[in-house]
Amino acid sequence: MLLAASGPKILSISLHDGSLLSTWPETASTSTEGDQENEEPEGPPGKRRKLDASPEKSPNVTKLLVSHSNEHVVAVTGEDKCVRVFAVSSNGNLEQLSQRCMPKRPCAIALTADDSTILCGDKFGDVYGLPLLSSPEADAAAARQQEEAASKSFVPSATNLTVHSGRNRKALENQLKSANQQAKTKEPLKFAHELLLGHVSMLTDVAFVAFDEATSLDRKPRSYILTSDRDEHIRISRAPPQAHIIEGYCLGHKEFVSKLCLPRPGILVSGGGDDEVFVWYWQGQDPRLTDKINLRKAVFKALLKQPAQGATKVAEEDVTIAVSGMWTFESAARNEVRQTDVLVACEGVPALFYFSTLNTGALQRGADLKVLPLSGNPVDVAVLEDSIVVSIDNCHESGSISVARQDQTATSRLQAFVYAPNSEHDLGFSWRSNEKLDGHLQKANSQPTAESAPDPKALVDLLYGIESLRKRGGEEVEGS
Amino acid sequence: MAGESNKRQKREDHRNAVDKKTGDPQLPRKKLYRQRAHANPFSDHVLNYPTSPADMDWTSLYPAFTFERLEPQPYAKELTAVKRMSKNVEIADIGCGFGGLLFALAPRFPDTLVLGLEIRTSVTEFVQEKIRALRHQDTVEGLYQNVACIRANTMKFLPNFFVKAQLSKIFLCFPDPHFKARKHKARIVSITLNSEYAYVLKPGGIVYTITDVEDLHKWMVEHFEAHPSFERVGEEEQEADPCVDVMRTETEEGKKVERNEGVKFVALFKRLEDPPWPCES
Repeated sequence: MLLAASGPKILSISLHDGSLLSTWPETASTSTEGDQENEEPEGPPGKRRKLDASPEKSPNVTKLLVSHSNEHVVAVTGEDKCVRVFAVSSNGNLEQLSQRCMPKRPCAIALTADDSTILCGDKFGDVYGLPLLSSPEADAAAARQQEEAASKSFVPSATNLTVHSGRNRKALENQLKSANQQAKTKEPLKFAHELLLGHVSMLTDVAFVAFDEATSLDRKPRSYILTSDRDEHIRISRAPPQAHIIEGYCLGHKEFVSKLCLPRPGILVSGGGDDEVFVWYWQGQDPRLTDKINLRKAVFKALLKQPAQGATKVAEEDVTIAVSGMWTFESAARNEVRQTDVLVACEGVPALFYFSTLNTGALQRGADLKVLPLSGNPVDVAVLEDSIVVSIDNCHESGSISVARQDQTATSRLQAFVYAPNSEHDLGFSWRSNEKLDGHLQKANSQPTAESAPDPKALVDLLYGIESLRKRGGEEVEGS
Repeated sequence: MAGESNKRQKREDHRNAVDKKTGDPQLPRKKLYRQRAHANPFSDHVLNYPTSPADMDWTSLYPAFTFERLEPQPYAKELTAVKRMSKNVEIADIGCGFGGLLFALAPRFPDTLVLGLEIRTSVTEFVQEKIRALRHQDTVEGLYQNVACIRANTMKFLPNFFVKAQLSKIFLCFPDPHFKARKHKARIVSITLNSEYAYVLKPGGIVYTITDVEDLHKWMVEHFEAHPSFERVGEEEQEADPCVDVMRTETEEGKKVERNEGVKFVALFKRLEDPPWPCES
């Protein structure tokens, strides 16, 4: 089955026959004919279509993550900063088990290899560990602890002995006066949680990596948390309970890093506001940058092929690249050599780019990146066995993140592609439309998105938030 | 505004001034480099920082500690003379302000490179000018060759400057107290930032803290003690450390507190060895 987020709703769709299995939050009658037992839950087409228009202003779903066991789904809703955990039954029903509101808006989520802990990175750079399944006892204990901390009597932070300016002194007086009616700045978190690590920057992505005896360099099981931020850093920390130990950094990006992708445990592909995606061999004492794969030429070509209506033509130098998504895909070629490809999406570019992690050297020497052209901007990708389902923005013109689409019905929101041989005699493989799966997605595509037209600005913010991470430089505000 | 431009002009004139007779650089005057005492560590200042420690050019900061070496260059047949550092920075004063501590430490550790890091532009310039003038004055003993100052936001970019376990001492002297609770994340010490201090410090290395704000002192102690990579240094060992006395008496703020008969709170924390991985203990 496929899980899709549409505005505040999460739909589960059978990929077997295309029936709509369930929707959340409405518990409408779900027709579950046929068996989907053989269908693996796949996901997550995280941010599919998010229309900020429901009358009760339900928060939009911004992230979806399926547990390794395929039994649970973690969803993040943006406006209320909530992390919600659902149980997924084999007939596609979603049952919300918990909802936990974080102090800051979650930007990235990951699960530990054993599915026990959600790693949740937020806008302020902190990463919290939350148990996937919350137990009432642990939550009650956490709440008690928080209350105790909060009930500590107020003590002014300065004394008369502190060196002060006149204004400081006045502030201190006021502080003392209002000491008793001091309002707490924020509601304490009333559930079990642990602050694992933090960047002084917006956190952009989190990944959990586990090596076993066979894959680890020292032949011992090792687990890590990788985190990236808006200030060009990629940090390697040990996994809990030693998340306070930083093992190293992958430094080389000149612009923000927005996505981390691990085709194999020891290989990290990172992308962001730079022209290149970086390939790192990161395990061991000194993380090593092995390759840089330039996207500029391919992005420019993809934009030329489908010039956005109403948009002025851009020169190749003016193309800005903001990697919005990366996914790994196991491609089984005819000669049985399984290799892992990385699919890359850039914000506002109607194509997916892909390369094999076995052969990045050829790309370095100037070979063209392989391209899967799309009829609109990709928002997210879900990877299945030999196919992918791409969710496509049908609100904006292809290649533009600002020009509204004239005819929203012309492009299906969910499109499936299969990786198949070019022809009987050709050894090459390429992506083509998966017509069977497209047929199954028809019902989902005909689902209404929103009752009323969404605010265009809010929609852009929701779908295209990556380029805005770029630093604008410019004015320096000197304190005076 | 007339006053404003007047002030700017004065500053400009002063910075360009050299001793008329000798052409030597003069010691800068602090009053012409004053700057608001607070900077927002979260904003994107226009900062220069290396992409990684390997990209940092230290040779222009410490010219007396460099040597030339012939090295192969990519795409070139011939070896090229490249300047390399004979030593790496080992002492960092984070938020060095007008550099009082730097100028006291430099002669005490003549063979160790000391670096001041300061987020405010004007104040950084003052320290740089002062270093230039002092180096010029003291050509005989070659003092102050081991001290330098750069503008940096260490809360964001510390790992861009230093590699793992490079430093032996970090000083955090009279940091901005950020009194308001909602500003606490801007404090230079927090449990999450302490991981970065632990990363750049070698095992056995020491973080020195001093403040006149008792609440901040308690905060720093609480956050360092809660961090498994640090252990507070005992009173006896603390008082035996010569740097503690320097920190109490030579920092600009330290002197100011002295004049106001304020109290100075000192705490030192030692970087512990990393424990073995969980599965091996």
